[in-house]
Amino acid sequence: MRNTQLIKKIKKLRQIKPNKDWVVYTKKELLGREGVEKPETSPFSVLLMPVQKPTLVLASLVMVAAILGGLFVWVNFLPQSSSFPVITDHYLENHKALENQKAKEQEKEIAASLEKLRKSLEQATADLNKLAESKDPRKALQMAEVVKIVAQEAKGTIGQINTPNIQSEEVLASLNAAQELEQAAENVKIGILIGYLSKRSLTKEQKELLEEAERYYNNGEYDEALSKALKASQIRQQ
Amino acid sequence: MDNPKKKFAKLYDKYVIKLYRFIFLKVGSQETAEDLTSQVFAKVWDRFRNSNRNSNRKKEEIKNLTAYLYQVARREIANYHRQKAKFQIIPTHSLQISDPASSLEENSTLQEEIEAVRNSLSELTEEHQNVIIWRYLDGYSIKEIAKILGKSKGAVRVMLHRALKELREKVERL
Repeated sequence: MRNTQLIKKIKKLRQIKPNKDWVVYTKKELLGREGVEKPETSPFSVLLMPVQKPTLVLASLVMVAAILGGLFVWVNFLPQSSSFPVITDHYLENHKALENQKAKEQEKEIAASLEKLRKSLEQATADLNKLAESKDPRKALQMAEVVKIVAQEAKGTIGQINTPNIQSEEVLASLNAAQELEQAAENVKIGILIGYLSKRSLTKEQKELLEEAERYYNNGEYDEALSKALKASQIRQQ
Repeated sequence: MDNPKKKFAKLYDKYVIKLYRFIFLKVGSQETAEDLTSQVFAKVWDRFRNSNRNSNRKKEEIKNLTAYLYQVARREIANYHRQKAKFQIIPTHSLQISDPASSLEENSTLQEEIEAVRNSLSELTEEHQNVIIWRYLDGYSIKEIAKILGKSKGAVRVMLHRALKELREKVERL
């Protein structure tokens, strides 16, 4: 074999490259958010990030986000009352009737949106467990974080709804669904972290911490599990 | 972003692929290579910060950054191999390469070829592996490699010649 042929073979090794997500993630870990060229601006821009394998979770979340967007507009931007330069009694009466009708329509639509939102949040919670089975823990972690942010957004938006005729149970049910989704996302993140660490080469100390984390996780003590898993992940191999 | 961060971000972008590949070729596992590469950059960042910080301490300047990076990487790899010998660490993921423009069959052939060269390369001495990686994969000149190793250009040329000869024998034996 000639040198040129051998060198050509060697150069094929140039195709060994790190995972792009890992490159960005590591840079962010080292330098913080400022070190990364494209910082995430809002939870909804995170949703639009290209994900190579769209999951059911993403589909559910896009729907949740769309509904949230609609609700947000209803709650924040649509006029609740208007004033007119020329006000006569007759006009005022008509205007009040019109306003009431509009308000009723809005309330109906908000109630329908809330119902849809609750269902989407519940679906997202159910789908969330599939993330833990993902082959790419970093993407799964990112997705779980996105889910958590969307759940928080949902909570905030629902909290702003202050319409007297909407039954408080509807608001409460949606709020509960959002809270459950937020908690489930956090728990899944811990599960992914534990799964990820268990595939790594670990020191004795890390292994012990990981075992404790698994025990806590299986007992549903998620805060303790997270604390142990984080400790295990923060120990650098000497 | 302050200056050291900016500088380090550039340094990271410039070296991350090279260092990852350098480490991967020696440990043969994606996850281990990722771990070790992060550790190398974390250590270099600590040192880099110290060298840029205006404190009363004497500045710890890094004279040859490339040489320093590879020096840290080699130390981390050596530590890993020592740990591996102690605890029998089993790499979980090996090489996964796919070219989206190629067919499944072509990708599989490419992967086999790459794996064969990688295996042959890993049988060489550490210095021989290094000079081949730096010269033909990272594209460093003989002069740059001489600086990294602290040797003369002539010594590097001889080393490279021997490394290629040894590798050819290993590849031909397959």
